[in-house]
This record gives sequence, C-alpha cells and structure tokens, in this order.
Amino acid sequence: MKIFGKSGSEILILALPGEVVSQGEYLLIEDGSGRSKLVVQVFNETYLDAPGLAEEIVRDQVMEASIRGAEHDPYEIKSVSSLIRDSRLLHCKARGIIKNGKFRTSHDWLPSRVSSKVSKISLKELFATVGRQGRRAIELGKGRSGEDFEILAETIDGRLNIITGKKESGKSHLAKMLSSSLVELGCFVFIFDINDEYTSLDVKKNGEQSSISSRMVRLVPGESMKLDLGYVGLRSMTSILQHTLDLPGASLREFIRIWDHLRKEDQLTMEELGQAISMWRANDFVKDALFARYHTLLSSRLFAKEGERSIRFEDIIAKFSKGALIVISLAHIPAHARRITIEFMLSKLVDLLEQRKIPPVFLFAEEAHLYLRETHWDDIVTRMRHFGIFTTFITNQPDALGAGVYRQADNVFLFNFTNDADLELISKATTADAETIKAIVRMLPQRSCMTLGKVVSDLPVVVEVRESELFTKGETRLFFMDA
Amino acid sequence: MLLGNMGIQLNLPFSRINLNQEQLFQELISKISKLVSQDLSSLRGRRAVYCSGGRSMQPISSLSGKSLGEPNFFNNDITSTLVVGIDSSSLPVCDLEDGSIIAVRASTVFSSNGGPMAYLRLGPYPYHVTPEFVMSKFCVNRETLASSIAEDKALSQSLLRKALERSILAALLSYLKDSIVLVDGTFGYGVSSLELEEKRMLALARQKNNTILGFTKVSRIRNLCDAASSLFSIKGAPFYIKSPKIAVKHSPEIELILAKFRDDGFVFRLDIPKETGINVLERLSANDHFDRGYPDSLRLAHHFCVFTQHEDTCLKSRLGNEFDLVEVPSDDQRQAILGWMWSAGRRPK
Repeated sequence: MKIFGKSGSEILILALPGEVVSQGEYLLIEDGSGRSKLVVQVFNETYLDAPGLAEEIVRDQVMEASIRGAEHDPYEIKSVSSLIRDSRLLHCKARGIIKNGKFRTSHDWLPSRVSSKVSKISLKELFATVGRQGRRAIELGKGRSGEDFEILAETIDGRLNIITGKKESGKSHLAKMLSSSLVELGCFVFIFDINDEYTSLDVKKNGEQSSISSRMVRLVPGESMKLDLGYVGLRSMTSILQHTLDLPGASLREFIRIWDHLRKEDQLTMEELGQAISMWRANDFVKDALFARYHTLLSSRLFAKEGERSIRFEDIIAKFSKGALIVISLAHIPAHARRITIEFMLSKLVDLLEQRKIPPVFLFAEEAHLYLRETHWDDIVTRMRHFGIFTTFITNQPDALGAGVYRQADNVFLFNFTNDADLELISKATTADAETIKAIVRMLPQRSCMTLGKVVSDLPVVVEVRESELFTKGETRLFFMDA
Repeated sequence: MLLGNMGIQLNLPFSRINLNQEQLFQELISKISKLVSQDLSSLRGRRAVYCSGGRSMQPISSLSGKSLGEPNFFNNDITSTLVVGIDSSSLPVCDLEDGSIIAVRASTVFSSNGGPMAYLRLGPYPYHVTPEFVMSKFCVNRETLASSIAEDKALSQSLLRKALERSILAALLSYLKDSIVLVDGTFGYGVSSLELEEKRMLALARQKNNTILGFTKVSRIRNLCDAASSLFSIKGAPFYIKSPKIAVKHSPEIELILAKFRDDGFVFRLDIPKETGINVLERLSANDHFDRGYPDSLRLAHHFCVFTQHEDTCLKSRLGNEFDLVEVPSDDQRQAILGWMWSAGRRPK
C-alpha cells in the first residue's frame, strides 16, 4: 500500500488487489523520518480511476460478449492492466498519531508520499497505545480483520448509551449481550422489556442454566409486580397523575390533601383511596376527575389490594449481592398500564438513589420511543445519570430520540441503516465525521455495528457482535414455521 | 564586463532606446502586406466544405459536380466465404539516446455469413527503432535514409504497422483458401521492401484463390474524395465504379475502384488486384456485416487493436520493470511555454 494523495481531510491510499483491507479497519502510516506514525481509518474504498480505463473495460466487454477469440500478449500487458483495474483507492480519515508509543488525536503532520510505509494495525495494538482505563472487560465481538475486540465496563458506567439500527440488524442481541455481561460483573440492570425477550436469558442455547439465571428477576406489572401505595409514595403518585394521567392542577391539589389525610390515618390503600375520593368534600368536577384517574389506576392492576404482597426494589437488590437482572415485562399489559409502570419506575428509582437506598443501576430501554414521554429524554440525559441511572436506549427509530440525546450520548452502537434521512440525523449528532458514518454504516452486515464514543476512546470501531451462548428469544414469530 | 556586473549589482536603471514605433510599424505593414496578401476574389460563390477542429470533412455531395459515369450494381452472393479483416495500431512508448521504442499491435477478425466469428489479437510488440534496425527490418541500404526513417516517428510507426500486418497477411494466405482478406488502407505501394513483399503476397493469394482488398476509410486524395462524394447520393447499393479519370499512383498489379456496399453507407476506395472478379465483391457484401457501408471485420479489428491511454501506462510500466529503464524527468515544452489553453494540450488538473 502507498499513499496516493490527500483531498481535504481524506487521505487516499492505493492498495493492490492482494492487499485486502475492509471498511473500518485501521492503517498505520510510518514515515521514514521515524518521528511519529499516522493512524488512519478506512471508511470507503473505490476503484482506481486510471485514464483510458473506461474505454478498455467497454472494449473487453464487447469482445467477450460478441465473439470468441485468442490473444498473444508476449509482454503480458494484460496482467498489468488487470492489476491496475483491480487496484483500489482506500479513502481514509486521519484519527491521530502515535508518538513514543502513545496515541494522540492531533495530526498536524503529513507523512512522506515516497518513503512512507502503510500497514494494517490491529485493534489490540491500537488500543494498547490509547491507554484505556479499566479492568473489567466485556468481549464485544470481532473486529473487521477477525481479531477479538473487547470493551471495558468502566466506559459504560455512568454513561448514556444508544443502540440503534434498522429492524433485524442485531440491536437486541447486543443489548442482551451487554446487559448479561454487566450482571456477570456484579451490576444491577433494569430492563424495560417490551417484547418479552429477555426472560429467556436464564437458559443457554444448549438448555443448561446460564450464569445469570440465579440472578434474574422477572416482574410483570399487575402480576408479580404489585405496589403498595405507601411504597409508591406521594412523589411517584403525583408524577403518574400529572404526566401519565394528565390530572389538572386543581384536582391534583385535592388529591394531595386526600393522600395526606389517608397517610395520617395510616389508611393508605387503594380501597381507602376510592372511599376517600367519594366521601371527600370537593367540587363535583374535581371529584369526577379524581374518580376517573382512580379507576384508571385500578384497571392497571399495578397497585396492591389489601392482603396482596407489594414488591420493593431495595429488597430485590438487597437479595442479590453480586448483581441482578431485573426484567420489567411490558409485553402483555395495556398501554396506559405500561406508561404508569414506566413513570413509577423512573421516579421511584431516582427517589431510592437520592436516599442512597440502592446502588447505581443500569437501565436498558428497549423500543424506548414507544413508551417514554418527551420530557423523559431530558430527564435521563441530564438529571437521572447524576443520581446513578445509566441508560441505554435501544431503538430502530433514531429520529424518535431527538438530536439533543445523541449529542449527550457517550456511546453509540450503530447498526445498519440504509435510509439517508436516518444516516443524516445520526451523522450530525455523533462524534465521528459524517462521511465515515454514512459510508460504513450503510454497508454493515447483520449483527455488525459501528461503535462510537468513550467505549472506544473516540476511535470508531466496526465490530461483528459475538454469538451469545444464551438462549435469545425475540426472533420474529412466523406463521409458516416450516419455511 | 566588470562595469556591467557592477551595474547589475547596484541595480542601476537601464538606458532608454529611442524607437520610432509608429514609423517602423507602418513601414513593416506596407512592405509585408504587398508580399504576402493574396487576391481572394476568385472565392466568390464557391462551394466549400468547412474543416472541423483542423480536420478535413467528407462532403456528402460532389464539390466539382463532375460525373464519373454509370455505377455497376451487383448482387449479394450468399456462398459462404471467410472474410478476414486485419488492422494494426502503434504507440510510441519512449525516446532513447539512439532511437525510440514503438509498440505495435494487430488484430484480425474472422467473419462469415454476415456476422463476426472470432478474433485474434497479437501484441503489443515493442521495437527499438534505430537506423540499424530500420536497415535490417525494412531492407533499407542507405544509412541516411535509414536515419531519416528512424528519426521520423510517424513514418516508423506506419512502416512497423505495415510490416506486422503483412506478416499476418502472409501467414493467413498460406493457410486459407477461397477467402477474402481485407486490409485497412491502401495496398500496393510503400517502401521498396514492402512493395516486393506485397507482390509476393499477391502471388501467394492467387495460389489458393484468396483475394486481398485494401479498404480506405478516408482518402487524402482530393479527386478521389470528390468522386466518392458524387457517388454518395446515388440510390441503391451495392455498386462499384471503375474510374480511369482519377490519376492515383498505385502498383501496376492493383486496380482502384470506388464502391458503396449499403444504401445508407459511405463510398469507399478499394485497392483490388487487377484480376479480381465481380464475384469477390458480391461474396464480400453477403458474408460480412456492413455498418455505414464499412465492413464490420475491419471496424472490429480496428477497435480491438487500438491502444487505450491505460494500456499506454501498462506498457510503460511493464517495459520499465522488464528492462530496468531509468525514467528521465521530462516536460511538455510546448505546453509549458504556451500554456494549456493555446497549445492543444490537456488542461492540467
């Protein structure tokens, strides 16, 4: 490989047919001067456009298509021609330099076109110079050249992550792999499971119990997840009434009075709440509004009746000293119950974290756009992560998240997108340059992703996500099962 | 000298030259205009074919309006006959101290029953063209003539192409029988060695009942060009015309005719052996495909042998590696002096 030229921020490298380099791979350009080494990433490849090549290709095609023939080419010009025809121009972006064995992102130096040597650099070699901080490795998969690539759990800790890509590109697979790895490392992971696909993570593909099976809790709102009003608390309840059930301010004030009254009387149950609303001396409109919301709360079946056992997150977490996967199954519950559950979860977790009753938690929000309201994005991006809720959004609708969330995201795992509008939105909001994203992401095969952000020290890496040994549900349910 | 140097070092101003420009220019104009100007009044009302990009164009009607007589129409004879088109091209690769390297390539296309069957492409063959090479290859005895040929790259290329074509022709004629072999351009004159070679080949062709026909796309001979144009508008084809009125130097064994093979086609000059019967043209017309009246065998042979710019690069690379040629830095002097815009050079990127 040789440096061919530089155009804008792009460095062009000429590669002969035998020199196979894939999009996303890193190359090292060593100048004869030995000062430093330039690290570039291949983001696109094109054919070498030599003068007169088009005529020759057309002519060869005509010759092949029209008549049979023979050639005597004593100097084998054709082989040289074939070599040039199959030569490729690797379009690269400079990512930084390696000087004295240390990587730096600045690259104010152009290596010699004559004496430079261009060679591949493995991800292992590259990241050894970066000096990543952490010791808890999560094996992510394989790089473009087939080498193993791992990320450090410390780079996900305290971060906002986004996993996005088009349908069936492998987003959920990565989410499951990351969440189970975090649990193995002792983390507490909450999952909003919209398709009921995480519950199978307790079983391996071969039928054996997985390493996290004993640390998994599945909570189904209305069934295994019932809530005591006392545990819900006024803060979470007002949040539900205000944001999910759109209770007007005047009614909310009356509700707070009723709540305080019941709490003082130590009668904070759903039955007592219903009675209190009916007996309460208030405007009929207010009472009607409160009753309507009360019945909605009742119909969600989320709140425990007298004698029913209520869950407490701090108790669940206390049971598992070495981390747990808490799956909130949202698949088979009505939409309003789903919204109530999410509203409660988020406000309760913040409440518990504020009081330091639970350690920081990771939250995986599958198909987040289906149930998280607008204001949640800002909450999660700004407020919640300071309390210790580290969210990972998983969505196939990148525009549902809004550019602000992308800009705040620390790590983005980008799977295949072919839609120009999606690519445009993501490329504007992420740390990597638009050309790299557009060129690479469009060509990504299934289950391969482009990893951006802190997790890869801001050096975009294309990874084929490893096969999981766990049994992963979530494949499309088919009518023609024998197909 | 010393004072001059001192002047330069001290940056002294130049002394003024008193030139009476007005008088000088008037004198020059009056004298030169008398010497060089021509009376163009005779041009009035004349018919003209404008050149395009410096190239002469083929008129589609006669400029002179002279009649060449009645055309001889003929029929297509569908007797299966092999038609072989031969063409060659050359490429100057580099200049050396004692000559130049020229690469030559030829291709032959075999047609029958109105369509192409197969092709053979030979080359490129590089030649180191020096006066010694010219003397031995073209049997030129005089050293000065050999030097002139070696110096003239266009002539060297033409001779090398002819030589390769004739070698292929000779090989084909000894193998084929009852076939028609088409060569691009005139047939029957050139340097003496080629003339002899061609005579030998005509004899060889006769032995196996083969016929060699020289097909000329564009004639540089004004009379021929005008005659061909006068035939262009004649309805119906194929036909040919033998015109003794056109004085063109050619071999005594060769006859020159103008022929039109297709109604929508052009009229071409054909160099044919004198003994050639009309049936050869009839079989040719039926056994080759004609595009705008030009035989497809020759057209394809031309396309297959021309060098592309890319092949030029490949050839240079191969020869450079094979013979460890040391490239001397060079420049396009004309372009450097005049700039790309007025020097017919390519615009630099």
